[in-house]
Amino acid sequence: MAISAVDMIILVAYLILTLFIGWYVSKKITGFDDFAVGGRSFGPFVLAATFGATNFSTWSMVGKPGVVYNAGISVSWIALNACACVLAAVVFVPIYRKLRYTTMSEIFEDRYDGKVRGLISVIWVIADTMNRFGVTTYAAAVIVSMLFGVNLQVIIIATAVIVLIYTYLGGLKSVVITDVIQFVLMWIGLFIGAIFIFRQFNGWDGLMMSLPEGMMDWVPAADNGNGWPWILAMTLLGFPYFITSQFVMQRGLGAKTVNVARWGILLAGLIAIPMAIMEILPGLAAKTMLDAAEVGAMSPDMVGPAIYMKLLPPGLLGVFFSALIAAGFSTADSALCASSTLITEDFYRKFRPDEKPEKYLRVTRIVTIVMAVLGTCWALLVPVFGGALDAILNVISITDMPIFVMVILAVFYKKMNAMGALSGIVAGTLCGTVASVTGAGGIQGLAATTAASTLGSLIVGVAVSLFLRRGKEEESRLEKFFARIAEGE
Amino acid sequence: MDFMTIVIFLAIILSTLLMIVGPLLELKGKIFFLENKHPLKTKGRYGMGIMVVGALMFIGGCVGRSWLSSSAVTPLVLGGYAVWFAGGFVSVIRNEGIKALESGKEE
Repeated sequence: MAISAVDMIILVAYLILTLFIGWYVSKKITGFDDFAVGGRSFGPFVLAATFGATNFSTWSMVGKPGVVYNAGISVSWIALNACACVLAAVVFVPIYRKLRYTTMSEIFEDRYDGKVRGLISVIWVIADTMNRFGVTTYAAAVIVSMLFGVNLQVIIIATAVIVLIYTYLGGLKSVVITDVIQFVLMWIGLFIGAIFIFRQFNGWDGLMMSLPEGMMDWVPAADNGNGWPWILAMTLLGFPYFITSQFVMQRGLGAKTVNVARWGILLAGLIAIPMAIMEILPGLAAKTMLDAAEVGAMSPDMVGPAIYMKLLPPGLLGVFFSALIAAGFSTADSALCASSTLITEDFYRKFRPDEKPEKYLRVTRIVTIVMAVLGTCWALLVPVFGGALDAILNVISITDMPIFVMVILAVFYKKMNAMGALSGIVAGTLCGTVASVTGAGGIQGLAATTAASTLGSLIVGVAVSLFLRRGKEEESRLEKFFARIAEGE
Repeated sequence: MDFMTIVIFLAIILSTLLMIVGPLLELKGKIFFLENKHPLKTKGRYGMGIMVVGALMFIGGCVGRSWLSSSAVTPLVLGGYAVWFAGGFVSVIRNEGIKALESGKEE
């Protein structure tokens, strides 16, 4: 497709601005704490914007419209699972902040032991580097490559290098500031798209009337792939994502105070609601605006861009493309920052606990490069793996619920012990994998897998904890953990 | 323009303004919601109670779809979603927290 000079100027200006921010912020980074938690300096609106930008990936703009085209309005429950932010703000953020954590995995060592923390760190590093950095970079590159006809490998490497440069320089602070700009850009891109779509259909009611029967159901029946069991599973899966993952919660740890963190994450949940609506509009509009044969011939990922290309004039199209790239950047940078911080804090600091902050910063930056290279290699290999990728992503998603269950039990079930946590995570992951591989639940496979991994980890974790008693060392760790929550540090 | 279009646009415009003006002020040093003026509440947690009602409405509506039509359960599900959020806001405004946090200073 032909892109106008104005669109190209907007795109290039956006890329230069992103790199400039990385360089500018780097001048203020002096130690590991500045890099990992931004010196704990963020306010609630900055936090809400960065939560929103991270939550909103390239898939939201290009993958989701294709899914909405086939499934209808109920797909919006994917973004609406940000309702988990409410529980994070009310219950969990005050606990994390009192414990003054730098990484989310610290809770597992404080409450259980080092083995549980190590296992979870490894799972998160793999998930963040391969799944979130690698696959997001790949997804953004595929679309840019298709739109501009540039070689896919070149775009993958270029995207990874840009994200690496500003994350390497400024750490979380640079990630957060660029996220704010990326969020505004994405928001404006979607807003412009919404205006043009509503103008085309004379508003929401007109758009709804243009849809075939069944596509307007917010809560479809269980015989629909996006039916109520799927909605419950999607909502439940938001809880580990927003409450326990290092990838998202790293921002909450970087807030200036506990109250700021609570408001920031609450606002993030609130702004996810209009975002969920804006995300589904192009997919719904495509039902009328695109010919079925035309859609059948194209990649489902192109449904959204095809609608915007039909509707938006030059100049505004540039904003949309910048928003699309920003969506990829904002997820990839968070993943890179999360995995490099985890490796430094959870592994390097264990072996070298008495180094100077500058040394930890240097190590984190080296790890950032290594992780970016690994993630980029993974992104380059994605086309080779093809269908296998889905299986790998599925396995990673299976691990989220058991980890969340262990955090819930850590806080609300005092009898829970380290062996119970370790067994619960392994059992939940195994149950989820078996459910997924055997295709349990049929059309409601996601619900069955989520239920299997949740219940598996819960039952085994509690049973083992009841059966095996805690040792003296673990008993004193438990007392210290709850004393720290009550008294603060 | 119909009612839903107006609601959607108002929500988007309000969010856009908040998300542009808020971060700009914060980057200039003005931080909102820095401290909660209320002491930590671990009893009479109405906000958390409202959240529980919202969650029950949401789950009940979803499960009720097994034998009820979409138009019958949708208000319950969307209403439950809204009530959950309302409870969250009440809870954070009132500085409600779990009992394990009791007797602690905030940070």
